[in-house]
Amino acid sequence: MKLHKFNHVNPKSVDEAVSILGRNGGKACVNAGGTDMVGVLRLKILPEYPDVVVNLKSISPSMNYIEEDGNVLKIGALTLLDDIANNEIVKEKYTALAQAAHKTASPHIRVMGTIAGNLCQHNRCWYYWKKDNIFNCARKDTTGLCYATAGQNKFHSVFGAAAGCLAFHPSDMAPALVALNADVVTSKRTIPIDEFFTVKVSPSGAGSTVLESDEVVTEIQVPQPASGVKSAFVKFALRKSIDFPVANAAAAIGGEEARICMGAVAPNPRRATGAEDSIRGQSINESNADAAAAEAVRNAMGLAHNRWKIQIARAMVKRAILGCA
Amino acid sequence: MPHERNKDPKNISRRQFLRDAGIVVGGTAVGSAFILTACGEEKEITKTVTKTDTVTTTAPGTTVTQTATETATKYVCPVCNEEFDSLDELKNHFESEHPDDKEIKDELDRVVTYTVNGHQYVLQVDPQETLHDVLREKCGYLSLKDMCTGWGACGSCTVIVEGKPILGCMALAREFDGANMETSEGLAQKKHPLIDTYVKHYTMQCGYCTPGFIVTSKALLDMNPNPTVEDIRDKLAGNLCRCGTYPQHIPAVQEAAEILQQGGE
Amino acid sequence: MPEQPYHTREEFNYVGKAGLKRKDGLEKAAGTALFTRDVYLPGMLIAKTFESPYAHAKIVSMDTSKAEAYPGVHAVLRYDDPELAYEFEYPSWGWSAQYQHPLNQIAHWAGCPMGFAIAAVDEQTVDEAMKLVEIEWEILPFELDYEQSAKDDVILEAHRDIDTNIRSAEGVIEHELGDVEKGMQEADNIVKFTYIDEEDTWGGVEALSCIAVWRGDHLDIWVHNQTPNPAQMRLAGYHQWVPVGYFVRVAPPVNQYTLANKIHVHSLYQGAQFGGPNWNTWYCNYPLTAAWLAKRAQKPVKHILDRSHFENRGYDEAVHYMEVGFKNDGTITALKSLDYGSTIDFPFKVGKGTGVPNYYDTVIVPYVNKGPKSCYRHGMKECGGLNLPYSIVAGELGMPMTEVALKNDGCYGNSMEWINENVKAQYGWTRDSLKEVIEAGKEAIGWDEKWHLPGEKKLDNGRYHGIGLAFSHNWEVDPNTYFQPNQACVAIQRTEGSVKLIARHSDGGWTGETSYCQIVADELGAKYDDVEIRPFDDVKFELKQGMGSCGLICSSVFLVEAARNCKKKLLEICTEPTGPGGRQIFPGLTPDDLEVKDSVVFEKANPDNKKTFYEVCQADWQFHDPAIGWAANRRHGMEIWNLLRQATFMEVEVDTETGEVIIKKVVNVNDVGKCVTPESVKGQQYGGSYMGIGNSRNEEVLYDTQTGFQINDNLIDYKWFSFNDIEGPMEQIIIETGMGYGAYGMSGCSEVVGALMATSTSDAIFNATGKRVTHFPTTPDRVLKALGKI
Repeated sequence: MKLHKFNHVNPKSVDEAVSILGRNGGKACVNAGGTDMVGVLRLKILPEYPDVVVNLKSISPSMNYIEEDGNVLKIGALTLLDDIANNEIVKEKYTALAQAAHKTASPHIRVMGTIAGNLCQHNRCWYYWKKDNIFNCARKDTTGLCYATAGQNKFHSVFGAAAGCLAFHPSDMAPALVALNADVVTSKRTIPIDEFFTVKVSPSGAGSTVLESDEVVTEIQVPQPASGVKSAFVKFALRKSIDFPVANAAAAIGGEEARICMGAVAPNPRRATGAEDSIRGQSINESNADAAAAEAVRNAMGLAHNRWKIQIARAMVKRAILGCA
Repeated sequence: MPHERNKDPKNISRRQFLRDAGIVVGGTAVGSAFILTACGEEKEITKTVTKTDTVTTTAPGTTVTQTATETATKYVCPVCNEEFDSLDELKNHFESEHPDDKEIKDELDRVVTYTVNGHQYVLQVDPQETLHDVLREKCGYLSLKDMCTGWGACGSCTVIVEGKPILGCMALAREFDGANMETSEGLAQKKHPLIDTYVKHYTMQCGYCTPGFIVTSKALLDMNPNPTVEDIRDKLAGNLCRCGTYPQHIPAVQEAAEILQQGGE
Repeated sequence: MPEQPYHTREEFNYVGKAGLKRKDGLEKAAGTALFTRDVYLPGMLIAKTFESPYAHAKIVSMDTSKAEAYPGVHAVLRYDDPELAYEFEYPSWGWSAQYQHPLNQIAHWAGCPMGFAIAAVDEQTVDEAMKLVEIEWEILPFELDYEQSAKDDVILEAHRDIDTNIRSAEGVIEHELGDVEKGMQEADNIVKFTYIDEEDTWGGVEALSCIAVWRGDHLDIWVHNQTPNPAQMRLAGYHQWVPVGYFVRVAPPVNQYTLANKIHVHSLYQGAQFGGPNWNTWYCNYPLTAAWLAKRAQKPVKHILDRSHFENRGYDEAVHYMEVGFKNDGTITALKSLDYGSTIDFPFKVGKGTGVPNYYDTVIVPYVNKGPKSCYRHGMKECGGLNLPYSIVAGELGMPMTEVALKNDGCYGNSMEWINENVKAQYGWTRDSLKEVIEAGKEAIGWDEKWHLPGEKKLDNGRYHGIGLAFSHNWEVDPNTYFQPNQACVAIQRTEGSVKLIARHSDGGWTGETSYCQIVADELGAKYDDVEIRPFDDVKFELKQGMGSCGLICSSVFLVEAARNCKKKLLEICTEPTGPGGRQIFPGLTPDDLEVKDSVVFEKANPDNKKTFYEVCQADWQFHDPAIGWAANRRHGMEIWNLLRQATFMEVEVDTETGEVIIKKVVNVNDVGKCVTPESVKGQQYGGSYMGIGNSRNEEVLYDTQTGFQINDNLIDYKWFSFNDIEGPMEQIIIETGMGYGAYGMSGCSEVVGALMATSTSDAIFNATGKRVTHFPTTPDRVLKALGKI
């Protein structure tokens, strides 16, 4: 399948990129690793095909770096997932992040895909992704239906819809960053990760984050976990590679700290605050991990085909907690 | 500019007309690129220069004269004819010295250079072309396959770019200007041990996924000359094989690693 | 004992030997092997066929004028164009109720290619022009579920005055042996169960395409098809009708069609065909579209499909309501099944592979709005009807599956004693294939140490250990059933004495080039390195690869005969007078005085009197015939039963929190009769296992019931197995009883390896947990359901 035509720019700076995005008023899109965006373009899944694709990799100085600045880990927006997975500092101190990076997709995608791209990727609902926008759904069009409601929803949200959409957020990095309480630095502001994700109806595909149409992520900042806090990430998928998660979970627990985040079970990454309250301050064991996991899915609502995901999500939360023991 | 081509002949520029009609071919050959100026005139922006050095050496009883010839590609500004050593330098010059000529800038933006399997290519590529399109259809490297038809799901389009095994179908050609690339044809040409070990261990059946696997394996060995079974499984996990050849990749890669470590080419 | 001229051979230099260089290995490793999509011709246009937005609808009127006028469009073909005047819908083969047509007026499934096709300068132009076609539709009711359709609550084809969804006699298929009611009465126990096979799709790795170009009234066409001759016949105006291989002419010769002798079909490397769209499925339709578009445009046309065209499904999608009656000693007395959907379990597996004396199976195949079925590796779960009852009986009685399998082995209801008598009559000796297979497999997996009662072994890691088995006969049992007409030609090249082999083969499997060359090298007496086969190019006459499912069994005898004929000719050349001078290459000798080995002809009594192939060819070459041997086009009537068995043993760990089944070890044991290329046979064993596990654990076609579209028609959402999805080691054991009906007693291997994965997994899950999963694929949700967790 060949891509349909668009214009393309290789900007030299963030300002230039932002300026092009601003000038094109929502009809421009950014391209980081390409592993999400190129698919979106090729399959023509969106009602609005972009006029301009703006490459972020040509920006100088490069946004591909991992450095510790005092107590903050600073990761450039375009840092490759493979580099995050293999970085010794990340593996040791921000373990959930390295584990999440290593479990994402496939080795090829990990040497192309970037941390910011992974956070900003499109949802992975198969109605949304059917070629040629055969399903002009509720996520793309305010008059559209959410076909998953009455349709095939085996992998969809078990925590209800957002903005009428049942699609799940497919990122593996997102729960890890939420558990580690990261900040997202953009060309305009710094956004706490808990406030970064949203669901909005967008015909141009920008419906997964709060980013404005002329705003790009430049850096992710992760505060060093407090002493005694360990982090872990686990993922369940039908295949050991390539697949998006059926459910994943990340936890950062130790002392009086507990942050647990579930992914792929809701339209946005979901903090499991009930589970956090349940496990906080305890010495982790099989029993209290199980109890906390039960809390995490207490409010889950299965659809016709996806009640099994509740079970999986529960198992993932339990195992993420045990990973912090 | 809208992404759909303007099909009304009255509003079409001469350049667009010539290009749509397929009249302008330039750029498909290695080493040369033509652009269209505003009046539709073709102007070559590459130039091959040959430098010949004559060296004379004297030994008792003999005088030997040797001639060494070097060729290099120069990049020529279509407006002021100034020459540069790289395409990047030409593009930078154009942006700073001729900032108002948007149409020629668009033309220059179409030009990219790659080094593929050791050969330099100067190509004109459209924004929507991927490395998969360009390497196959403009450079003739048909080893990049298309198992998943562009979903990024199978690894059969893998090409090594700057040492990394990336998916050619998800890579926009214009974003890899200046890159160094390798495909399985290149590995065969330089007789990389993986070619023979893959054949020896029957690490193929229908053969469709094989080039993708081989270049992924090659990238693995370049990064990790002594991989364990786990390392191999980890790095080949993104290549799908419907025939199920998976078990055989392990002995093929391990044997190639041994040969390389022993100094084999 | 019947005469078996191809059956035995004293010694082999190459057949059966490991370590030979794979013939097609280098070009595939180098990435220079050509596949259909790799064909680019100057000026080539791109073509696509319109895809129906509705699951069942009829075009009432269609205006293509704007598309025809769109700049860059060179040809548009419509369903009502004169080229298609002689086309009509015809149903798929046998167990499938879908219709086929190159450009139908009626869409029978969502996304179905139909209506019109466009050829233009590039893909974007085709896409844009397609949007300009205006269609008025009559929307018709659709149904995706077989059982629901069979109820006839909504008659789906009422618009064609068809008053039932069960389309004629083909819609109800019955298989019967003995007296099933009597058998049930004789049983000590009867168990009823439901076994469900969800739909899966074919194996191919390269999305289909076809390139056509007319040169005058000659058509050159590159088809993505491992047996190109059906495509050639379609283009000459024939339909392939049931049963397979029988063609019916439906159009007059010439006119818009052309004669077979002007159609030059090229078939390159296929990319994991495994049957699939090989057959009479709509695959043979879209080369027609390509050819007609190319004729209209008078330019080469490449007709392309993408990965969403998954329509060719496997022959195993059904709900089976089964009953098994058995005695307390494990003997099965009766099997009964009512199946809704498409299944060949009973005729191909139960009937041919058991001693169960009484069974009755009814298969109801109503019309549904899904893509057509076709053979591909013959249904990846088709052994369910055989192995699930065995596993259930074993479970009920607390016996291992191995015992129940051996107790009930047989053929067409006949017992092992009957098999043994039959085999002895054929060969003068007998071997018990299933017993040998099971013993070898048990030892390899450590069955006796590891088997335990169901649910009894929880591991330290919290998972449950299980071990299981499934078995079947090799593909075809009946004598002479699948000996299709086939051809082979062996020719020694005059230039330097190298040997060229012309034959058709399947792309995968062990019907590959290497095996063919080994056989020819041995029979002719040539060096293996001197023999080559290159089947891509059109060789101007029909080449069939006997039967997709048993390629080498059928092809082998033709290779043997062709090579022997070539050798005979070679020795005649060596001893006959040549030219006007009457010189002989080996003066004074007769063919019986000579032998051939390592590409050298030599006198038996005096081996130093020898000439290489090259020297023979060069000696007065213009005065004697070339050494060519040919074997063609007849069934050679070997009445031999093919009673070989195979089994897959599996060791698993079940994670009862998530329903994940982790595969820790797989042992494949196959009695292949005679192994030609060990590496290739093993490749089929582990390769088939990977494909089969994918099919049985992860792969299912999922539909949106609101619109009828397949919703997971891509390789992210339709889940082929990746490298690490089998965690543990795999072991392959080859048994050679010599009881097959191919040359040297060989039999097939790969067709059924994959099909055993589903039921061996199910058996292993039962052993691990005490719970049975009979709904395939055994995705985690189904395991969780069986465990009572959801």
